[in-house]
Parts: sequence; structure tokens; C-alpha cells
Amino acid sequence: MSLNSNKQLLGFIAFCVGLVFVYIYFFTHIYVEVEVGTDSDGFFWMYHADEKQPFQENRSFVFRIHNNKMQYSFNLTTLKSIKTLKSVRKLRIDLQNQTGRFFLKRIVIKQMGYQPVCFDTPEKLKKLKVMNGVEKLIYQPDGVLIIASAEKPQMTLLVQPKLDAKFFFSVLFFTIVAGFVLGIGLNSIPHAAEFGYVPYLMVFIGALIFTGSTLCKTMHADEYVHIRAGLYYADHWLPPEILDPAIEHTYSVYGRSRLNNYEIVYFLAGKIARLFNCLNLNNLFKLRLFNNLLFLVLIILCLRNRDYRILCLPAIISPQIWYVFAYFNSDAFAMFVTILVSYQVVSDGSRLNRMLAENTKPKTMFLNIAVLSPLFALLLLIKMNYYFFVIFLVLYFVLKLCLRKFSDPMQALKKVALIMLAVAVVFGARYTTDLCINGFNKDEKLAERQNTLAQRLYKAGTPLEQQHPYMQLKDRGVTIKEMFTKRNWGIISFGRAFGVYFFEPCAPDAYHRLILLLVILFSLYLTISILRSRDVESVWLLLFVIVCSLIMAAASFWASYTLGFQAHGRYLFPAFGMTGFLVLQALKALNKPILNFFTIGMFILSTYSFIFIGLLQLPKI
Amino acid sequence: MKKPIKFLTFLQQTGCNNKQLFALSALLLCFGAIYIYFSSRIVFEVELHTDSKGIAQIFYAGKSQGYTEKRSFRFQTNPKKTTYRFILNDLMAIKRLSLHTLIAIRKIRIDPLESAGKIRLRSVLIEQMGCAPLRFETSDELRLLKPANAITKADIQSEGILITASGDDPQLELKIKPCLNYTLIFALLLSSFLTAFLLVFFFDRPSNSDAFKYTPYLMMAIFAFMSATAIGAFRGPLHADEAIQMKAGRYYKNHWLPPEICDPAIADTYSVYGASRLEKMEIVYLLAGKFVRVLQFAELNDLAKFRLFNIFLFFILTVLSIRNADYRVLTLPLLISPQIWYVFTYFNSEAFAMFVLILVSYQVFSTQSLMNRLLTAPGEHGRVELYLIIGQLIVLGLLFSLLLLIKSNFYIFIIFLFLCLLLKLYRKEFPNPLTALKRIAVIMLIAASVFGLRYSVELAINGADRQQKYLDCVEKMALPLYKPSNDLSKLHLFMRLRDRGVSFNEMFAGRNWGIISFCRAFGIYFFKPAAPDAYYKLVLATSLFFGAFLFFSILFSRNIDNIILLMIILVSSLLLIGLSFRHSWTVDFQPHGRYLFPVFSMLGVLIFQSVKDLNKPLFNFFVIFMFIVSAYSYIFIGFLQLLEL
Repeated sequence: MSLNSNKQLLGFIAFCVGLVFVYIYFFTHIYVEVEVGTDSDGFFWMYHADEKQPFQENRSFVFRIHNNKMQYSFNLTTLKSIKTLKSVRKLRIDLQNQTGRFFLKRIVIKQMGYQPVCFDTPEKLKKLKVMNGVEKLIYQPDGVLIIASAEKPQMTLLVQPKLDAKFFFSVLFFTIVAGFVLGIGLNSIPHAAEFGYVPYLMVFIGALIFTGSTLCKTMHADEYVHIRAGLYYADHWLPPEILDPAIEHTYSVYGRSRLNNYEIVYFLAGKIARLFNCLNLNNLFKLRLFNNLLFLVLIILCLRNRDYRILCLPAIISPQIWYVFAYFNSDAFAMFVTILVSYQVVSDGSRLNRMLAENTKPKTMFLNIAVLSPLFALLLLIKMNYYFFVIFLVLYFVLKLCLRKFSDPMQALKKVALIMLAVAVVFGARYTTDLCINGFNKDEKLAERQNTLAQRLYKAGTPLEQQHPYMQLKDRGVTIKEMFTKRNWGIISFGRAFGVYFFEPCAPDAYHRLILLLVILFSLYLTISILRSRDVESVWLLLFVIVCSLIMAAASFWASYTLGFQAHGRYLFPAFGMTGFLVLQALKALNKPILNFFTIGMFILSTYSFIFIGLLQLPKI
Repeated sequence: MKKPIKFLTFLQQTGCNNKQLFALSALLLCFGAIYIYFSSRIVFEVELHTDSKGIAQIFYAGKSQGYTEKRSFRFQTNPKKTTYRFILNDLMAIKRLSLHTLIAIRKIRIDPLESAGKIRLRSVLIEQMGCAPLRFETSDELRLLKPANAITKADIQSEGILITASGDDPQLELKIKPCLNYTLIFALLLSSFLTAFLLVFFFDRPSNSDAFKYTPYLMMAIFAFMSATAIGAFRGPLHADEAIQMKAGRYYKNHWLPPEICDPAIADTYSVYGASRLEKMEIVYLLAGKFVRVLQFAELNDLAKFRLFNIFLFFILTVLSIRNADYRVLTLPLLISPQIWYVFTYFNSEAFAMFVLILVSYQVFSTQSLMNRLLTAPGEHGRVELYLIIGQLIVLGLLFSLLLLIKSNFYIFIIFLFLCLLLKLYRKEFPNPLTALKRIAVIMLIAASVFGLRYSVELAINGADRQQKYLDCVEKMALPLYKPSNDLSKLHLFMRLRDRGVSFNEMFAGRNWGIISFCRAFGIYFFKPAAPDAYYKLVLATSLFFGAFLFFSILFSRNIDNIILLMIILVSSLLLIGLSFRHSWTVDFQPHGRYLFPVFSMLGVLIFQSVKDLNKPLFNFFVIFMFIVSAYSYIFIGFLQLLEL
């Protein structure tokens, strides 16, 4: 992603030059607004100087004042006399007319990058110091009446301009983003021959996601809990103590706080949100921007690499994934990590596979391990349902070993062990931090919090009949069959994996039927193609995907059955990650037009769902 | 067998390879399967309550058919079961290949019992994809079930209809009128069409050049913003004029010919100025009206459908820019102003005009275009080539005729094109100038004929005194504040400023005509100039730098063609600005930036012609910079402001 050609470098330099121009044009202008009344036509002078300078003609501005006009504005400095407001510390105002009576209502001095200096209330105008030629100043509710004793009364004003840090940071941020787009985006977009349509669709989806994040007020019932957890880390570096009363507001109705698990996403999002503090954005949007940025990274990766395009195919086919990237939650980050890790594991050109395949120098190897282990460590620091993906990866690695896919299996094993060790160290550090803060009785503390902060309807100790009717269905005597037939766990889970927003299953039944049909056909097509290819590795991988997905679905079902009925489709998202992995691995066995047909067909349906159902129904700002 | 082979060859010539053909076939097969799977299933659902086991039967028949065993379901009723569901045409249990459609079924007979007894019928539901579901569950709905045989009593209660039968084979008959619901079928069609479109355009076909690769990505993002704004976010009008424009379009939903001036039936299409868009020669309302008519089965309000028309135009431009590098350059100006995005978001006639201008620009300036290939082709040809040339001339003539059927401020572009053509002829760009000139004349003739036809229709409907009728109508329909005959003192303060004594200078100094026009060309939504002042300053500075950069790059390139083109554009733009100013000064103060949109199209042409002389990174910087600033304006100012409406 470096600036790899002279043209780009030139572009970047041009960009910087452009910014300098913008800077010179805007930042050097000191803009003054004056509201002054006079009985007869006359003149108004304004001199400016710093603390040590005397008032001089070359640092002044003069304009005519008329008896039928009150508002005047002018640039105190021009490009010839570049000044920053910071260097203006005192002003002198001279007035002249025939009657010697003036009414000064307001003086406002502005420069981009500084907070406006306002003298617009009688209190503020009392800072006017008479130099000479003024008989008296009469303060009135809306200004000050100046009665002159000489032909040209003079007054001074001391000013203390303050930098507007937010604005500077906005400009800085804007520069970085624009530079990023220029440096990486423009001419370096490689020729996307294979799956070239994916980046286009990803850009389209990205724009929709961003729109959703901007427009919608509350996008999900749980979002507030995520937001509060994220905001905690905006001001902290370490996880909180479980019993800390300061984090009580981060607990959900179930008496659980996202800060008490090991997910790193809140920390990262909190810190990114802190960076965005300079922008005039509300907390909700700042944290949503984190997820939006993750999707932007995926778009850039898709632009640059074919394998990422294939791994991102599952992100195209379900509007629920777009929805998850549009509001703040921990699933989007987990999806993001899954895709990055998948690339490392399955793509031949990845850093990991190159390292495992080649005999590299120890220095290079350690560098690779240093880069890869934090990435793999993230797998342990994401939502727990994604741990099934870890099992899937382990199975795949074992399969590769069994099928002798590595030229030097022993070496590969050693390298992987080193990575795993590094991962364990990272996770260990996180675990140790937690132990230091919360001690060895974390579970007890968690139970105590749950008991104290959970609402009665969801409290473990509440008698079953007084609990929410969706809690502990197994204990209520609901059978497994009934979970599917009466409670529709299967249908609801499927629906919520493909476009249910804010619990409202408002899409027409036909939409879900169509997408179900496409999902079934697509799965059948994948299965049959892979089986027909007789490629042992792909067949085994398919089996792993099926087994892991089934176990995951069963775990989700069990949680709904024994704890609370939460048939969330997003719990099954790791299956999407595994599907992407499978498609990339078994690409040779697949007919590309048919694969494209399925993805584009589902993309069109998803677009319909996201715009016509999601955006239309979600509450707006 | 010859025809299909020819068709295949044709598809291959258009760039469709075998894989794509296979994909297309797979697509069609899949949609066939979906259709058969879903749309053929007719579901009957009956809710019955009985105290004892028995046998019931449901018959269905067409209008002139009798009830037969062949068209019936027989089932056992059971006290433990209440809901009975049957699927007609169930593919899983298919016995014969005679699929029924609900629309053909016009009567149902329910035999709830075999002999005397009591049974409660709570509801009947019949549904098939593509038809509105027929539900009979309220007492009013259940009243439609008519006792036909051996039923002594049918009590309609809140819990259903209690049937008491005295004899054998009691019967209830229900006449139904299924209504087609095209939404889903249409959605299927649209999806298949779009999928096929995407398949053919995207897959495995690299575009013809790598130049300006970022343009289509940015277009795609804008397309998403527009779709979200127009459909997902806002139900109300996005512009003060949108309702009137939509009503004009709506007229053509059900008509093919323009209306008579001042026809009371089109009274709602008149603006406060007493003018209707239907009185203009613009073709966009006819096209949009017919587009909406095609979409009439979709469950969307008309406003959204009309907006879809403009968004669809933008989508076409996006696809063209993906496929063709020349279009990428010509569409570059679309990226730099959020006002253009806004214009493509709500329904109006400017978006279509911009669309036409870009298509025409491509034809005139791209060396690969149909027109330029035609104009540079040799004058001698065989008979087959002759037919081909005639066909191409007709297509081009029709396209160019659109130039005469768009908003009148875009006519400046015709002058611009004419001057460019003269330049081309002068520079001897055509190998055979006489042939080229003849062909241009034919294209112009066809375009003029189309316009003439439109004008004749107008004359036929409104007569030779059309202008007088128009003026009378304006007088009749305008609000008093805008009536031309009213005294100046009674007119709106913004009307006829020159007559009010406002000087030329005051128009700029006091009334800020220039500043407002500029701002309205770069991001003012629904008349609200609520963007921070710094935004407009930034855009102004960037535009000035960009303009200066283009100007000096072209000047220093010493390419005489481009310098003349630059001059032509400057003159045309100034003329347009002058006209817009004059209108604001003498008629009505309307400093709309969109009146200056033809300048953007000309800018596209200028960039296209001089792209070799421009420093690309610097140029890209300007475009991307303005895109980012525009995105800020469209989302944070536009979106959020329009939400408040």
C-alpha cells in the first residue's frame, strides 16, 4: 500500500500543495463583522497589533459608515499581509462623523481555526477602553452609545484569541482520509479481472451502510449496551472492576456487561471514537463509524486482491451482515477478523502460507510471526460464538498436515506452534490483566452483579413463573419439537440471518421464501460441485463446514432452549465466514457463472431488503 | 435451426462468451424453477371445529365448470384437529401435469359433513403467489358462504359459522374473484432482468481501458446514496417543485398524447406561475410516466417510482462508466457536485437532460462511438452496409432528437455541439468530409422530423393559436402574486426586478445573484442554505483552482484544437450564465444553480478532449477532493436537512 509510483507521489505532493493553498486562502483571512450606527456618514478605522507592536497605518483597515446602514464586514488582513489571529492581541477603533455620536452594537472577529472573538453583549463591550476623544460611553441593552469630545474618538480592545482544536483536528483528519484515498485508491486500483464485480458491489453496500449509520437513530435494541461499553474505553486503557459502580450503566437487562468479557472490540472502538472526538459528532455515530471503517478496509482489500474478493462474497449475500456493519456491535469486528484470518490461512499468496511453504531466514520468520500472532490472537478476543471458527481452522490445519500439503510438515508445525505460543502470550496478557483487576473470584462477582443488576424478569433467582415467558423454555416443559413447530426457532433464526431489522420481521413472506430457496439451491450446488470434483481436501473441508455449522446451530438452539429464547441469525454468522473460506478453497470445482448468479441474485434481494424494509422502517434521526 | 445459431453468434459478437451464455441459461432455468415452485402452489386452509370424526370435501371449479371429484380434496375431520391445509399443484406430490392458477378458480364448494350434524367453520384461506390472498374469517366475510344443500341453519357468530345440517351431503358454496398481484412476479422479472444485465456487463469482461478506474466506484457509491435517500429514507417531496413534476409525469401514465392547454383535468399540474410542465415539449414526462406504468404493480408510492426513473438513469451511466473509459471521463463532472446527485435523487427534468447530454457527448467526441465510426467510414459501400448505415443513422437521429425535447436551458449545448462540429470540419478530422457532412445532415433531418412530429401533435391538439391559449392559461391559472397582468406593486417582490429599478450591480451586490447561483450549483437542498459558510468557501476555492488548472494546462499545451474548444466552452457558459441572469433580473429572481448544469456537461467534454494535456494526479486530486466535499454536503447537510421536512 505504499506510494508505488512517481505519479502517485506527484499526486500526493499536489494534494499537499492544494492544502497549503486552501490554508493560505482561508486561514490567513481575518474576517471582521461590525454593527455600528451613525447619524451622518463617516469613517471607521480598525488597527490591529500584537502585544508589543504600536498601532500603524499598515496594520489597519478603514471603511465608510452610512446613516442608513448598520452592518459591515471586511477582511482585516489580505494575502499581502498574512496574519494569524493569534498574533492579534489588541485592536484600536477610531470613528469619525459630523455629529460625534455613534452606536456600536457588535464586533465579531473570525478566522478559520480559531474560536470567534465576540464583543456582542454590553458586558463584553465594557472591555472597550477609551484612549482619547471620547466624552462618555453609555451602555444600553443592545450596545454602547459613544459620544465624542474630539473629532476622532479612539478606543482600544484587548483580545485573546483561542485556537479551535476541533477544527484543526477535523482538517487533519480530512487530510489523512483524502491522502489515504489518493495514495491507495486512485491509480493503484489493480485490474480486477476475476470477480471484478465484487468491489463495485462492496462500494455500493459500503455507501448503503454509511447511509444507514448516518440516518438511523436507534438501529438495534442492544446497541445502547455496546455503545456504553465502547465509550468506557474512550477514557480508559484497562478493563474495569466488575463491581465498579461507574460501569453499572453498561449492564443489560440480563445483568451482564460487555466490559466483563474478553472482547477487544470495545477497546479498539473506544479509542477510535476518541480520535473522532475532534469532529462534531455524537457518540452513537462515532462508534458506528468504527464498524463502517472496518467495512471500508474490506472494500480496499477487495479492490486489491482477488482472494479477498472471494472471501467477501458472503458479505454480499445477506443484508443482515450489512445491518451489523451499520450499527455498533461486536459481531462486525468478529466478521472482519474472520475474513482477515481466512485469507492468511487459505490464500496461497498470504504471509502465513508463504512462511509455512518457504524456508525463510529467522529474522524474516520472526517478523512474520510478530505480524501474524496479533491477528490470530484477535480470534480469541472476539465474540464467543466465533470460537467455532477457531475449531474449524484447527481442523483444516490438521487436514493439511494429514494430506501432506506442506513441503516440510515438521517445519510448518514448528512455525504454527510459535504463532500459537505468541497468541497464547497475547491472550495470557489480557487474562492476567483481568486477574489483577478482578482477582480469582470473577465468577462470583459476575453472579453477584447479575443478581443485583438484572431486571426481575430476567434474574436467575426469580421463580420460573415470574420470569419472562421466553426464559428457560426447557424448564417450562417446551419440547424440542415444539421449539421448531410452535416457537419457530428455525424459521426465526433463518429470517434473522437474512434481513430482520430491530426485531421487525416486516419483509413480505415471499422475500424470505425466495432467499431461503436461493440459500438451499446454493448450498446444494456447492455440495454437489465439491463432491463431484473428488478433491479430497475440498470434500473434507465441506464436511468440516457442515459439522461446525451444525454444532454452532445446535449450541445456539440450546441457548435459546435452556436460557433465553434468542433466535438471532447473527449467532450463525461464523457459518458465512466458513462458506467464504470453502468457496475460495474449492474455487476450481465451481462453475463461476453459476456462483456469480447465486451471489448476484442474493445481492439484489438483499438490496431490496436493506433499502425497502430496513432503511424505510428503522427510526430516523 | 439457422436462427438460433445466428443469435448465438450475435451474442458472442456482443461479448457474451459461452460461460456467460451458460450462466444466462442457468439463470433462466432457476427463475423457471422458482416460478414453478412458488407460483404454482395453491394453498387451501380451512379451520373447522367438530365434536365427532367425519369426512369433509372441498371442490373447486372454474367459471363454467361443474364440481367434479377430480377437482376436490377429501379429508377426515377430527375433534382434535382444527386446521386443515391442502396444496394444489404440490410438486412434491404431483400426480399429473395439469397446473392450476388461482385466477382460473371462481367457485369453491365445501361439504363439511357427510350427513346430518353440527360443525363450526371458523375460516377459509386460499392463496397463491402472484394473487392477493383470499381470506374469509370475519362474520362479514363468512356471510359470503351460501348454504346450497341440506343445511337447515348457518349461524354466523364471532367464532365462525355454526352449520347445522339436517340431511345428507350439506354444502356451502363460495364464489371468489381472485385478483392478480403482480408485485412478486414483477419483482422476479426485475431481478432476473437486472441479474442478466449484470451478468452480461460485469463478468469476465475487462473494460476497454484502465483510465480513471476510480470513477465507476465513486458512481456506485453515489448510486447507493441516492437509492437510500430517494426510497429508503424519505417519503415526502424532496423539492418544492417535485410534486408538480410528478403530477405531470403521472398524466402520461395513462395517456400517450399531450393534453389540451388549460384542460381542467390537468389543473393540478399547474404551478403558482400558471405554467404546467405538460405544456412544454419535454419528453421526460412521457418516458417517466410510462416507466412508472410498468412499475405500477410494485407496492411503492408514485413519488418513489418517479424517483426510481432518475436513479435508473444514473445507474445506466454508472454501468456505462464501468464498461467504457470514455464514459468515465464524461461522467467525471457528476462526481464533483452534490447538487447533481440531488437532482438525480428527486424527480425532475434536469436529470434526464444531463443524461442525454452525456450520451450525445459520447457520440460526438468518442472515437469509438457509433457516430464517429459512421462519419469516418468510407463513402462507398455495398447494399448490406447501406442498410446498416441507415439503421445507425436512425438510431443516432432519434438520440439527437432528444436534445430538442429536453429543458430549454440545455439548448445551449446544441449551440456548443454545432460549434464543435464546425471546428471538427475545419480541422479536417473526417477523412471524407462530404460523406460525413451528408450523414450529419441526415441525422439532423431525422432529429428535426421527430421534433416536427412532436410539434405537429401539439398543433393538432392546441391549434395554431397555441401561444395565445398558453398566455390566457397563464393568466387564468397563476396566483395573483405571479399573474403577468397584475401591477408591479401587486406582484411578488422577486418578480421583474429590473422594472422595480434594481440595477445590474445591485443584482450582484445587494441580491447576491452570483453567490446564490454558485451555492445552488454545489449543494443547497430544498432552498435551505444551511451548510456552514466554510463549505461553500472551500468549494469555491477548489472550483477556482480547478478552473485555473484546466485553463492553464490547456493553454500551455499549445494544442490549438483544445484552446478553441476551451474558448467555445467559455463563451457558451457565459452566454448561459447571461441568460440565467437575465431571467432572474427581468422575469423572476430564480438563481438556480441547476440552470447552469449544461456547463458541467461541457466541462466533461473539455476534460475528455484535453485529458492528455492534464497532469493526471493533480487532476485526480481535484476530482476526489471535490467528491469528498460533495459527499459531506450530500450526507451531512442534505440527508439531515431533508429528514427534518
